[in-house]
Amino acid sequence: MDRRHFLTLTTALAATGVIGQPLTARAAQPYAGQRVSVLLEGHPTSDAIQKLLPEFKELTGIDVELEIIPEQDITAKMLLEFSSKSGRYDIVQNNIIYIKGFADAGYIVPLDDLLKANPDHYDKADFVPGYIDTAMSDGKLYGLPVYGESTFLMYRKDLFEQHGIAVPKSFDDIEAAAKTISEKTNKEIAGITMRGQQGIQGVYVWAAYLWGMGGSFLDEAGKSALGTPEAAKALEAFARVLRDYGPVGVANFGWEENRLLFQQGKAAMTLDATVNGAYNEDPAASTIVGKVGYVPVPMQADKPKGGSSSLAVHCMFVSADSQVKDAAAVFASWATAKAQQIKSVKSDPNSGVTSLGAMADEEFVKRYGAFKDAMLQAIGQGNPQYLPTVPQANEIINNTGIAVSKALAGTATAAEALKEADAANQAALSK
Amino acid sequence: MNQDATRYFYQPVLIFLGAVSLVLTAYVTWLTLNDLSLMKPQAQKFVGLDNYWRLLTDARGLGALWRTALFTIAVTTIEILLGLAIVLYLDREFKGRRLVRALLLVPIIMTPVVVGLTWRFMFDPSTGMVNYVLSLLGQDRPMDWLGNPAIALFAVMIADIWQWTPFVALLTLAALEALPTDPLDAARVDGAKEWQVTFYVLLPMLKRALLIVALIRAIDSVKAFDLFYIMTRGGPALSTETLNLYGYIAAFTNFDVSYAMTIALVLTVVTNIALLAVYGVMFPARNEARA
Amino acid sequence: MKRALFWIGLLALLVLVLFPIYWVVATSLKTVKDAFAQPPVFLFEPTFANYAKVLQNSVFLRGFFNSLLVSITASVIAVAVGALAAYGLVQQNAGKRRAHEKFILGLRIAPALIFVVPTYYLAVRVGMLNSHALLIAVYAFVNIPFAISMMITFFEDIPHELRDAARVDGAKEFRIFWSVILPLARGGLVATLILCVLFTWNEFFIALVLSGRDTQTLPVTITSFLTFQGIEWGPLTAAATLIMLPMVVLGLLVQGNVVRGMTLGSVKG
Repeated sequence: MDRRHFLTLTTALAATGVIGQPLTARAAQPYAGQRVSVLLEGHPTSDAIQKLLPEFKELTGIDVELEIIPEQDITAKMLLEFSSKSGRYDIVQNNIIYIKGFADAGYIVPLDDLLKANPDHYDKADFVPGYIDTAMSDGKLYGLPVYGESTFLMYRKDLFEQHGIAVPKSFDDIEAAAKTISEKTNKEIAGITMRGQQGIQGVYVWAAYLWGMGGSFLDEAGKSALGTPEAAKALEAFARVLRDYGPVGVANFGWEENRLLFQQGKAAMTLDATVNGAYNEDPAASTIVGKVGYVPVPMQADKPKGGSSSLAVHCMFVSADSQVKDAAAVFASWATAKAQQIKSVKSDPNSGVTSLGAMADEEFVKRYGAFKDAMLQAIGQGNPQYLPTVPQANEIINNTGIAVSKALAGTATAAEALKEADAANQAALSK
Repeated sequence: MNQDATRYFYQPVLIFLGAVSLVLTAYVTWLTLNDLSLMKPQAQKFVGLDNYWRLLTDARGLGALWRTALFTIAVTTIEILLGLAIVLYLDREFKGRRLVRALLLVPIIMTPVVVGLTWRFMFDPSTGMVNYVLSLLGQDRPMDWLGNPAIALFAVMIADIWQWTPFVALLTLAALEALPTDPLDAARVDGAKEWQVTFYVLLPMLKRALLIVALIRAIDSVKAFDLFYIMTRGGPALSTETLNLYGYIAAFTNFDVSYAMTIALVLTVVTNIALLAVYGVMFPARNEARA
Repeated sequence: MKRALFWIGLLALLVLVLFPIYWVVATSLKTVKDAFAQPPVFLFEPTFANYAKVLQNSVFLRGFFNSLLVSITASVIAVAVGALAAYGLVQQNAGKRRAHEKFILGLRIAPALIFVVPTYYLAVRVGMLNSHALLIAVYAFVNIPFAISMMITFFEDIPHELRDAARVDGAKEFRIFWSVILPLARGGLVATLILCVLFTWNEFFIALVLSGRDTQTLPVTITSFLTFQGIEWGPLTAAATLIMLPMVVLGLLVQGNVVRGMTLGSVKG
């Protein structure tokens, strides 16, 4: 039944008094009464979506059952559901790095046809191109971007001025600046702070060094490439600058610890996610509002294999075992549409919007104007392969995280630690 | 007739428990002989003993095994020695004895996750109390307790020792009070000094109780998970990754179900061997006596 | 002099044992400024802001409810089943009993990892994930062996003559159990129940894997405090205090039995 016929039908029904509700509401409710089960990550956008659910119910008549769990646990949870074909969730959220694995395993379905059939909320042109383009596999669209972020270098403009340091343009510059600050302040202020925690945390930030200094996780043939001199050099530089000029306890720093330390003005630089800008510029939580400069992550290689800015895009996917794929697609496109994203900026600390319209919105500019341009620049340079996107990505990140942690702790040299990780990654890849 | 009726009180329960564990064990064993990854459940294939060979040659797995052993032996030994010292110290009449016992109980019944958080808080390098106390004692450079791979395992040990030494003490104290006092008095009458009474009479009498509590602590330490998960998650540089934690990571980070189950099965076998030893020590006399 | 030394030593011991707990509770009553003051402040004006924050958090409240529901229901089931089985076992001859007890002890020893993953699979297939029934069933299952061992020790204390006398009077076995033995073991039942609740309330690993959105128990809930909003030690210590407090009270109620129970092996998974 196409839309026009549907309208005629509902008009007729309304006329006969079968349907008591207003025509407009009813017309857009082809899936009224269906129930969509959604699994989302613990993130400001999820909180915002949760607050907006009553509006969705009113608009479409679709019931939404929303479950929010920590990002670190979400992949295991959905894999167990997928692999047992439970159909427990109609929509799941995850990083784009899983798209290929999930699509190949037949866990998630392409959205092109579903969105063609349900076009009300979907506007491809409104998504940041760098985001929506990465949500594809084999030319088909699999995910709708919920939030996205990249990475950039944040530095304290006031401290840099005070000590006469120029804005860092290379990793060597970063180290020199960190040294100056650390020495001039007698270690009162750490030269730089970054996440050093074993696992995804450390790897996420170190990957900036890896790509920026000409390395990569995988080579063109899809084999592990961590055994290269470039990778070793990148890990050495990362570990050295943190060991010599980093804060105490950096080996256990995750995103929060790192963000808090910088927000409290106890470090002169940090290289981290663009979303941190929102926290730096929040007067309620930060002592450094207006004092922070934002610049792209350096590139310091003759023949780089890819960009050194991350591109972490988290999308909603529709499960292959879903019995209500159309309703699910309607929800996903509604939740990621411009109107909802604008509301989310107002209700939650969400600087990761994926809608160009929301980014241009006054509220967004007011809150995040201080780093908006740098963020867009970073996204523009964002490397979709920043973290591996193969099915074994999780294991590769885990292995690499051990190497980063070992080098940082000094229990192994960078080259040794990476050699181990390289072998473990290769074993995982050839499974 | 009636004697037989008592069978029906326990047999259904035991048969049910037995059946469930049998099915589970069989299923887990089957999994360990296969290669099943959650990323590719269709690609499950039979691989025989490969997973066991893999564990034997897996440097990370062996490292985890070694740390598990180190952790178990160290905390058990220290807890026994400290607990015994406390018992000997408290073994006298004083006002508030009951209160002291009640207070010693508190760490034992605290939620382990909360214990982990507490010590993570205490060990915080910049704002934690441990470093503050050390700075009062003249240690200027703050220690990075959980961030330095050379000491992180010891930091977790301290938390474990803090929680479980009182358990050793209370259990030993209970055993001590159940002992007949005659041999002690006899030794004293014979002119033995107090330390001689302690070493030559009291300790041998406490041997069985100490052995039991040591084995209980050892079994629990092998399986320790909560403190590690909360305090370090195995880091930094793998310095606190135990076998149980590695199994968890294999299952829920690498989605390598078969390998995770292999680790779990090996761990189970090890703990069961220890258990049989406990049982042998714990119940021999009593049962024979009733036979 | 010797007396004074003894008291000093005792004081030192109690400070070592109690200070970390005191410090967590104290931090929960401090403002952010006081909590991270260097040097630490010991005298401060207490604030209940952290508690207000935690108690307004619907996730925490739901966790509290879940913990309560799951631990009490699972424990009641475990104690009921355990008491029956223990009574039956106590009447058997030594050889049979020894074999059974060994088996029961063996059940308690396996690391949780080994049954949690297969259970998860199964639960997903039958659509029981995110249901309280699953957690209750699993916790009852792990608590039953403990309840059996514990109840055996209490039934053993009841003189055999009582049962024999009742049998002479022609009472049926279940009637003896129900009206003669069970009332005598009332104290033991309560102690066992409390210990089961305590173990279940404190348990983390099983809950971490097998609980869903609606069934998350407190130890899992509190770890989400750890990752979502950064480590806000104020609310976190308040939540920690609220989690451990009920168990400390319960534990102190059955003091002597805690050690007895844990000697029989903990059900920590």
